Amino acid sequence: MNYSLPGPSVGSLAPAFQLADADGHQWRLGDHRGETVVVIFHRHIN
Amino acid sequence: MSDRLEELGDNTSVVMITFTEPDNLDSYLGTNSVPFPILVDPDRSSYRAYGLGRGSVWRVWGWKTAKRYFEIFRQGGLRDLHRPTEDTLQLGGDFIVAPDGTLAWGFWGDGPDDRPSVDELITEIRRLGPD
Repeated sequence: MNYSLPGPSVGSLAPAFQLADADGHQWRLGDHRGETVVVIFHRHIN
Repeated sequence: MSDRLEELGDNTSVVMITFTEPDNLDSYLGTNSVPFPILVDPDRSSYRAYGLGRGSVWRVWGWKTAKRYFEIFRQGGLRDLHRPTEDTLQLGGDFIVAPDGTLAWGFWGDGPDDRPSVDELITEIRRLGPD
């Protein structure tokens, strides 16, 4: 449960995002239509 | 998750998003082999879009951690503590996006260690049907 922000609901369109990896390569969720995508939001690394 | 990717099927991608600084990510990747893309979101806009805010200190760290800090403080060992370089209150989560772009499943974590098991994720992915 999240108590600080409203989030998307299951069944609605997943929020789009476009982000770069460590090498600067862009990765866009919309480019992966037709695939199942597991999105892991990391907590903190250290 | 890394060692069970083949169980997800050919039509499933995994991507991890972190808000860490690029230098931290470089050192993390230098010591950890990660077989899927790790994306950097320093302003955490994607976290907010998925409803992932910050937890309360009490909720995230809990009584056990508070007690341990108190013991360290009492013993004068504060110099042994290292200051975290990241926002330790940022909550994480795990989501499955279906091939049609809809959110099929979501897990909103309550604290740093609150996350679904890999088995749970795989079960939910399989629930979407064959590749």
